[in-house]
Formats: sequence, C-alpha cells, structure tokens
Amino acid sequence: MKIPLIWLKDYVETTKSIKELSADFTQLGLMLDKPLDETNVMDLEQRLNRSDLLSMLGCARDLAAFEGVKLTLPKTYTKPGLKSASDELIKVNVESKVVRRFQTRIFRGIKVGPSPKWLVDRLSAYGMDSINNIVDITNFVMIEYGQPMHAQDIAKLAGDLTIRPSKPGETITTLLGTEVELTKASHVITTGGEPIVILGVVGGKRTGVTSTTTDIVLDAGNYDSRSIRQSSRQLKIMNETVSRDDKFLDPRLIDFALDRATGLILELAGGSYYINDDYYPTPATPQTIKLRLSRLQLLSGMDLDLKLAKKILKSLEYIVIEEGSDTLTLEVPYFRTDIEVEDDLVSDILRIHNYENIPLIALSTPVPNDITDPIYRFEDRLRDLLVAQGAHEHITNSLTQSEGRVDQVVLVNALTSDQNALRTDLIPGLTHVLSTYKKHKLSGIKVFELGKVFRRNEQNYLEGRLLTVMADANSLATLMSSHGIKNYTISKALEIIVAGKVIGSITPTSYTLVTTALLPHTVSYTGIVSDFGHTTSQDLSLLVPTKVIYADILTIIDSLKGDWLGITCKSMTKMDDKINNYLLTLTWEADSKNIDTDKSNIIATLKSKLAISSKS
Amino acid sequence: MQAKIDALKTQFSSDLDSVKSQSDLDALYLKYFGKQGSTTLIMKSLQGLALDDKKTYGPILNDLKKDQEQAIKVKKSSLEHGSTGLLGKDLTIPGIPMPMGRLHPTTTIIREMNEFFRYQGFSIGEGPEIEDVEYNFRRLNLPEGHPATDLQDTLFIEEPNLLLRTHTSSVETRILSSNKPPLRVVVPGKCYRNETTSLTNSAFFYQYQGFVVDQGITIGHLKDTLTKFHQFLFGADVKLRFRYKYYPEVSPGMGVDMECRFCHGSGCKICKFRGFIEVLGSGMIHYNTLKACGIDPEIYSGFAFGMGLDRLVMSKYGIEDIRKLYGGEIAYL
Repeated sequence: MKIPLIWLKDYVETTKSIKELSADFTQLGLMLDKPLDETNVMDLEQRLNRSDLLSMLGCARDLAAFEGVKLTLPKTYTKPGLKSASDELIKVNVESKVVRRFQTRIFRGIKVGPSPKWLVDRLSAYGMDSINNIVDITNFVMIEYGQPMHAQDIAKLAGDLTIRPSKPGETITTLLGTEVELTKASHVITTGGEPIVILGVVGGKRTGVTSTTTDIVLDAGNYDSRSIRQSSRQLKIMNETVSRDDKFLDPRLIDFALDRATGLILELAGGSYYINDDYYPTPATPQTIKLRLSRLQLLSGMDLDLKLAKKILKSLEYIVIEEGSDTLTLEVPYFRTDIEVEDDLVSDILRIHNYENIPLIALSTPVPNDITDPIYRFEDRLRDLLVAQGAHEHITNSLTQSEGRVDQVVLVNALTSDQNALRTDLIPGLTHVLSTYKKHKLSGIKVFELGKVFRRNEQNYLEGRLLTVMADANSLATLMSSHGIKNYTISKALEIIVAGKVIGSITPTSYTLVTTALLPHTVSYTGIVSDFGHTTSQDLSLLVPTKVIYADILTIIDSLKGDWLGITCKSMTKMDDKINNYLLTLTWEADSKNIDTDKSNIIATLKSKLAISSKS
Repeated sequence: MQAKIDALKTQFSSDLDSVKSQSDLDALYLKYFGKQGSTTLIMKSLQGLALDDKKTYGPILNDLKKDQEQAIKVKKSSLEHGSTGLLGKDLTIPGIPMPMGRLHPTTTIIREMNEFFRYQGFSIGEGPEIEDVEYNFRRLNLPEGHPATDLQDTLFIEEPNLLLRTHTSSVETRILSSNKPPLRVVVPGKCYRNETTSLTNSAFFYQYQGFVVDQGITIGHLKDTLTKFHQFLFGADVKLRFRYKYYPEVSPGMGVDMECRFCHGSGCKICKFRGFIEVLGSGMIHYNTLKACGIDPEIYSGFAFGMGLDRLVMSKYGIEDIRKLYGGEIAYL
C-alpha cells in the first residue's frame, strides 16, 4: 500500500519525517516494501488479514493510535437520497451466490469534468492518473476507505442490472481496452444480457463514464473473497480493485464509502442523488469480545492495566460496552474483520504500546523431558563417522523427474517436468555430485547423503530414511565395526544382512543403509574390554569355481556348527577362467581344542557342496 | 672428602663423554646410581661423617647428584634426536593434513543451532515431509480458503488433502497433538514450495522452527530466547528489532530483524536500504492452534518461531546460488 505523505496528513497531524513515520509503521506491522526515495511516498507491505490496511484511513488510524494523536475523519454525506420515480429505478437482480451486498445509488444531472488540484495531486502521488471527476472520486474513495466502487453511464445501460456467473465464451472489453475471455470462476454484471463488469475485478469500457455522461449509477459490492481471488487468478488480472475485493471486507463498509463518494460527487460534479437498490440479504451484526486483564498480563508478561488497554482499544475505535474490575467487553469496529479471538486484542494493545517495550524474560520453568527420537542422534553420529573416514556430506534435491514407476510419488501440480516426483533413492543425486567433482578433476573422493526417500503402495505413502555412501565395502565394514556390528553378511541379491534382517544394499560403487533398520542392531561402547582375551586365527586358502561367490561359501559355513568366533574374507584373486582363490581368516579362542576339527569339517563340506578345494 | 668428590666428578664427566648409545647410557646410570653405584655410595657415606661435615658436604653432594641426573637426561635426549636434536627427522616441517570429510554447510548450521537450544532444554523434533492438509494448514489456524494457503504455493500429491509440507510448523502441530506440555522443541527440516528454481529460491528449502508450551509462557520469554539465540549465533553485540507482524498461526505475532552487519543500520545494498534484515517470524501460538491440537489454551500458553536456513547458510559461506548448495557444486577446501 502506497502512503503519500500529503494524503496521510489529511487525517493525522504529524511533524515526523517520512523516515520516522516508516519506522513507526514498521513497528505497527507494516514494513516498507521498497526503500524510501525523494517522492515522499511510503510503499508499505500488505497485511494479509487486515483489509482495512489497504486504505489510507486504516493506516492513518493505526498511526494516530501509535503516535497518540487525533485522527481526523473525512466529511461524508449522510442525508438520505431522493426517491426515484418507479420507472427511473434501476433494478438489480442478483443471481449469484458470491454476492453478500450490492448497493447502488443514482446521480442525475451531473457535470463530468476535470478534477480539482487537491484530488489530482493525491491520486498522482499514489500513482494513479486523473481521468475525470467521477472516475477519480471512485478511485479516491476506494483508496481512502478500501472499498472498490464503479460508476456506469445510465444512458448506456439496457435497463436493469443482473449479477450472475459468466457463461462460457463470453468476452468483455475492460476499461483499459483489453478484451478478456471470461472463465468459469468469474461472475459478471450484465445489462440486456451482455456483461459490462467482471464482478470484483474490473469494469467494462462500454458503460464507462465519459465527458458526455450526465446520469450515473454508482455501485459498491461485497463479495466472497475466495471467488474473487479465483476469478482474478484465472483471468490473470491484478489491480487495485482485486487486491481489496479478494480480502475479507465487511459489508457495512459500503455505507461509509458510498456516503463519502456521494458527498464528493455532489460537491465536485453537482446533480442530484437518488437512492436505488441495496441488495443486502443478511446484514452484518457487530462482533463483541471480552478482554480479561489476566489474559493480557499472561501473554504480555507485563503488568499492564485496564486503563491503558481501554485507551489503546478506544483509539483503534473499539467501543467499550461493559467495564468490569478486570474485564472489558468490547464491540469490534466493523472494519476489523481480522479479529478472531481475545488474544487478537492483546496483539493490538502490544502493537500500539510498541513491541520494543516488551521485557526480556528468561525461561524459568523446569526443563521438559527430552523427546528427541534416538534416530536423530544416530544419524548425526553416522555423519561424524563418515566424515572421519574422509567422506564429504552432500544434500541433494528430493524432487526428481518421474520415471513412470507405479510406486513413485508424483506431484499433481509441479511447475517443471524435471521436478515432478519424489526421489526413490539417493544414488542419482550423489552420482551427479561425483560427476561435478570429476569435471573439476576431483577424483577418489567419498561422498554421502542422509535423507528421505519416498514410495507409495496402494494404501499409503511411505517415507524412508536412508544413508547412501559412494564408497566401497571397506568403508561399510569400518562403519559397521564402529557400531559393534561384526557379523553382517551380503546376500547374493547384494542385500546387507544383520541378524537375518535386511538393513541395506550394496553396489560396486556405493552402499545404502536404512538408518531406522540399522539402529536396533548397534551397540554403544562396543569392542572395549579391560582384559585382553587371547584369540588365535588361521587362514584358509580356497580354490573356488568362478560360479561360486563368497555369499555361497558363507551360507555353507554358517550352516555348520563349530567353535569359531568369526570369519572374514581377506582377498579374492583370479587364478584362471575357472578358478578364483579366496583367502579366509577364521578366529577361535586361543585355548579352543577344536580348531583342527573345525577346519577339516569346513574344508570337507565346502568340497562336497561347492566343489571347493583347499590350498592349505 | 672434597678430593673424593672431585675425582667422582672427573670420572663421571669422562664416562659420559664416551657414551655412544642408549645401552652405554644405561650402563653409566647403573655405575653411578645403582645400589652399589659410585654416587649412591658417596651419598651413603655422608651418614658416617661428623655433624659439621654433614652440614658442609650435604648440600654439595645433593648438587652433584642433581647435576649428574640432568646431564644424563640431556645425553638421553641427544641420543634420541641426534646431535642436532632431531636425529634424521625434521620436526620443524608443519605436516600435510590427513584426508578428512566435511559436513554439509546446512548440517553445520543446524548443529550449531541445535547446540544452543539443547542447553536451553529443547528437544529436536521431526515429522513427515509428505503431509496432511490438517497438520500443515488447518491446525495452524489456516482454514480452507485462507489467503495464506494460496500464498504458500503448495506442491500437492493429492489435491486438496495431501501435500509436501510448506513449513516446519506442520511438525509443531504434530508434536503438540501427540505430546503433553511442557514442551520445548526445535525442528530443523526440509520444506517445499511450488516455485521455479532461481539463484535464491528452490523448490525445496530448509526451515528451523522452535516452540515452547508451558504454563505462564509470555511474549517476553520469546523475546529473551530469540535475543540469546542471536547473541549465540552472531555475538553479544548483535542488534535486534522486534516489531508486530501478522502470521496466521500466532497471535500476537512478532517479526524479528537484525541490524545489517554491513552498514550498521544506515542502509546498503545488502539490506536493500532498510538498515535491518528480516531474520525470522514468531509469536504466541494461536489460541485456536493449541485448541486444535488438544491443549487447553486457558491452562497453557506457548511461543513459536520459524526461520529460513538457506539464506543464513549462503551468507555465512558466501554461496550465491542455492542450486549449487544443494546440487553438489560446493567444494570442501
């Protein structure tokens, strides 16, 4: 919202500089959207829930309350209008559910002409061109009160007005002269069946006010803000009207805004004012809300009293209905459509009292129980262990291109096709990282990522926590050993298995662990003893047919009973096309009596089951 | 006695000179300090002397013993390091670092923040990234059709109920709904929005959320916590500005700005001539949010804050393009 200083000063007397005023607005919740320049106009950010702050008066009201100065309200014309002869009435038929109120007023015998300087100056400071006195008044009052309104030339109307949803294929030429094809979401005002205004969005050129106009119908409406938002989004039209109509305005605002416009029209264009249709099926009722002193003191942490609360709320135009010893019952001003709960009154009080005055209070209640999921710290430890191995952590995009797989989670409204689905594993992201490394001649570097992957089945969307490391089995072995996992195996399907459970998978260049599956198998403070037990180990050199792999050998050995404590594969060397040489190391307690029996049992079984012969 | 001492001194000195190895030195040690060692014996002989002589020779002998021990130490060191004191190794070369991995900058910042909050008694919370509209919007006092839900530019998986979380506040509503106060929790996490990728925006981003719910929590507690947090991150001289700011999920809401560290408030390009940089949004958890999560707002109150992490990470590490930060295009020096 642009606030020209000359316009603001119509309502608030202040000697502050524009820089000081913008600092005050910042405290009130409206930061500068753009830096100040030499124009003496503040460009303040919009606040989503307060439609009244899209009006000069609304901003001035908050500022006056903050500065503790008087707010001067504009002059309005509150006398009733003349009654039209029945054949001169313009009937408004509302056939649309999005209209909450639609008031029209008729002016006859007006003189359209240029606007006076004060009006031109204010509009121009705001950034609007002057068109003629009538159009300028509708724009001026819209900015002053925040209520959009339109004036139409009665001579160009084909009788009554109808508000209805737009029909497919209908078009309208807007005030700016662009032809717009209407969409399903739009509603229109029609005359003689032809649309002349897109409701809440923009007026049409055909019935617009020109220098020859003498009689006008002035309208101001209140609509379902969501409908206006949808309509303007579909039509891709954004303007001063839309930015107000798509907020939650109160229908009572129409009376004040039209009274103001009526006064200005009569003053600047002459003519006579006639009352006309006011479609208003469910008049709005004032909202009352109770403020408890205890609530104010609780949320603020300050020893504020009701006297201060009352003063501030009254300056914001709340009306005190009832005053108890520690409560105030208030009527919420009609323009404050944002007020939902008692705490919003506390907000207003603290805001006007200035947030800088809120004291710092250290948390002093007992520290609550720790509810951190152990997986969080586990993953952090994995990071540390991998960093210690020399691996770099990376974070890559969870969004990826859909591969058309049924189990992939696909987005319904992605902006780009290369980011229209969720990743199912971490390898592609890390592979890309390594390719970047390669481009920069960095090789032999381990990288890893800890992150979520996503899948769907018929009923559910699933999130999995993965660690993928672009490194070889030695890195995996180190990581497992750090967690006290000595006995893990790799299946023929290249799954990593601990205690019969699959906890991950391995490829020639990477391995992946499901962190939630790994965590239960880990042991803290593992492998640390105060007596140095004695073990003995012996190597087995095996000549293995090439079709047999280590997983096969392990399966056989695991099926045997014996005293050995552990088994590792030190190396695998190719002998010729048919035979590989595997060097295994078995470990026993030093005093085990069964070493020789165990060994010969293993050798014999491997020979009979897998045709493996022993070299040793 | 003096003659004996002098003779011992001379002998020791010549013996020490002929020491060429550690074993020579061991032998020498034994010769003088063993049970029957010369120095040991001469020290013992002190006992048989008259009182006056004891007084004279006691200190002399003590000094002798100390000198000899020191000489052996020096010899030992020179044997180990050679005559230059280094014996073939030049210890003055500073060394080459062993290969070591590095954490992602975002992880580093998250850890730094977690560290602060852990000492303030905060747990670390997490939640799903595929989120229900209920937790992402409804329980945050964002009813259907609220303009803020439009602004979030949500990425949907199934319209209108299933989406990628647009903020970490969804974890707040989940934790509030399934835990009983008192609670102090921070939530670092990935969030998503429907936005075309650019230098500063990507479809996913990191947020850091925090909240406290207990009896008697005030906006003063929020202000204090955030002040200490920023002092921890940026130093005790950090200057913050607290102002009213509207967020649907809090009331009263509070915006926090930090004085621009480049221009110290006078306005420059970095702060877009505002003098301050917006750092986070916060406020007292909305009455309706507490209620929707099953917490009685008449008994408990709470505060919440949330901030984007990426901008902070990028400014701290001088990374200008968010796509590089999350595209592996960062080199660890």
